[in-house]
Amino acid sequence: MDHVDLRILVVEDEPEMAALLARGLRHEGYVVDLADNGIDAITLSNGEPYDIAVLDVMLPGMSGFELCRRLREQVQGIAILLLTARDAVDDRIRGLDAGADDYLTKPFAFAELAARLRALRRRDSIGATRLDLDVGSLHIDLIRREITCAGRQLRLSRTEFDLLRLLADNVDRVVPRADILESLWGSADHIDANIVDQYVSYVRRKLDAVEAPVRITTSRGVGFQLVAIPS
Amino acid sequence: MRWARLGIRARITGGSLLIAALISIVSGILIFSQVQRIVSDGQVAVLENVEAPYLTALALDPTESLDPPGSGQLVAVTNPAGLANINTLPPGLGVRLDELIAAPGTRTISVNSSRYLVRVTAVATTQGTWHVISASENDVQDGILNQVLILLITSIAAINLAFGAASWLIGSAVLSPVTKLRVSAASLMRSPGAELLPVGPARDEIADLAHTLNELIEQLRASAERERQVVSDASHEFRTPLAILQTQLELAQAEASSLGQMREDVGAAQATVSRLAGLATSMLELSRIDAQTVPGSATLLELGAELADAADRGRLHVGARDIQIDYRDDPGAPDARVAISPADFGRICDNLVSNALAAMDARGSVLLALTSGSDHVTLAVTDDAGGMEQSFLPHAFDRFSRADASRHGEGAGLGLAIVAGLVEVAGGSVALDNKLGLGLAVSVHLPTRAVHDSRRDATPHLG
Repeated sequence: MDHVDLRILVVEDEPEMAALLARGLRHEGYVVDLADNGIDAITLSNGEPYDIAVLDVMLPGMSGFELCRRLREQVQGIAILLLTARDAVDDRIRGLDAGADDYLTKPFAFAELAARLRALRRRDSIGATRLDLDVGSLHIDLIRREITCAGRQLRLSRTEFDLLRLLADNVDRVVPRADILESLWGSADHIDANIVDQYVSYVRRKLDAVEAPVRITTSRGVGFQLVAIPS
Repeated sequence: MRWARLGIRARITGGSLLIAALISIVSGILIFSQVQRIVSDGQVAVLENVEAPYLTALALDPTESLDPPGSGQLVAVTNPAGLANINTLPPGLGVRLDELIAAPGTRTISVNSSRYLVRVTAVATTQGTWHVISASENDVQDGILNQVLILLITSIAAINLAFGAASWLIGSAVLSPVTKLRVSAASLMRSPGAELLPVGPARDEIADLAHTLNELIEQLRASAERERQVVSDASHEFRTPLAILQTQLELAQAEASSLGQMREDVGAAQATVSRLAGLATSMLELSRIDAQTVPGSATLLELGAELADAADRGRLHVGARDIQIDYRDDPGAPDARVAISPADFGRICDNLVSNALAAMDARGSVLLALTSGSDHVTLAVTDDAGGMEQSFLPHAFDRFSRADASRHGEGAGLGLAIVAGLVEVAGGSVALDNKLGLGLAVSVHLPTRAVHDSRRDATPHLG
């Protein structure tokens, strides 16, 4: 795990939940600070450049939405994930309006939280570095998340796109199965490794359907690689 | 006191009384003036009789001496020189002869607190103009009129009093079924049973009210019964996994002899917790759907993206099984709108995929297909998991209904109920195509609205 020096601010007023979150996130390799209210959270964020904030919506005093808005203004480039016990659509919209990057409803599986946080990191790093990728006549637009092959659009689901992007990022190199698993779904503890093979099969079929000039080959026992088919 | 604050009975009585009083007073005035006219006509006729012999005598020969008037008759006759040949008028009138003959006709004149009706008639003769003045005191006529007035006032008062009392009694009679309804309702409130409010034999407004209230009571009872059933089912559904969880944790604490065993126990407890969490989420979802009145909105393009996300989410739950989850969408008019939020559409997809996965063994396939027609869009989720028991189909959308263990083994039986609820809010319909031994296809039809037609075609309909 390469979360070295990534700092997370967890704002949660229920001590037991806060302690569990801190424990789990530290196990994932993050440096975790805890606050049980909005004021303390803002004070803490003045001293520390946090990369990520995990906020409970129901906080005493200042609500999670308000805190989210303040942190967004105050901390440059912070990724914010909101937690709530309410599963109402307008809550989700309010959260996203307040500047949250993602939203998770309680109760949630810790693995899901970890995966969402990884996705937030990934979103940042991709956005910061590259705009598009080309493998032969396969063009990947990283901003609009669109893939075209000789003018024909390839319709992929989010995860299918992420898999093809990962393989395209490492074109002609074998990407180990464990790396794919971790990059797309988080740690291998929570998910069956079979899912990698299934997704490779989904993406292969879609590439075949548009007669893409690329192929995903299997390195038995190691992983997968994307190779361009010479025309 | 304001009119609106009076009771119904007081209003009926007051209103009736007001109208009755108006009518009776107007009638009283008409009757009295009629009597007054008759009395006054009679008095004039008497004066004409008194003056008639003198008029005749003067017309025949004014030089002839005139007969004296009968006793009690008040009369004066003046010659052309203005001197009275006869004068039995009371002294107050007798001295005003010049004034009287100046204006012939009939009029009332007051003299020393007495009122007289005086008639002056001029008779033209060869010698000049004579005047015959007759008078009669008004006392008798006034006495008659006073008596008539008293009679009228007392009868009007009596009639109005009787009318008021009758109105009050009629009001009470009209309101008595309402009072009965209220008493019955109060007794229903104290001891709720299967009874209803009494409906009177007459087919009137009160009976209609009782009918409507009874329908309301029956609806409320049915809804309370459903609620009770749901709460009872929900408690049962919660108790089962809670009991399992308790046992799992107790056993883990008391009996786990190795770290591996402990991990296994905790893993099992975790699975139970996620089942509980799923149940809580589903119930919240249902209560949200029940309370939702304004549907969401999404374009077909957004629904297509949500369909792909739902396939991704479903694939996470396949595990080690050989199950393909494919999706296919044909957005048609990508800007056309459907009255559902992307999140709710995703929930529909998730529930249908989850049902299909629960029904599958080691291998199988699920296809999510979104196709658009001219005025609707269809989501079809098709699996090859053998279909469901035919006898379960009528109950498939009921809350907490589960088919046999092969389908919906783990769930609480809320998945399809949530789907049906969300589809209903969106104004669509849902259908099951069950092929026993082969698989199940669930089709959700949602009406669409073309963007440019949104104002004209506000009420979506199914094609």
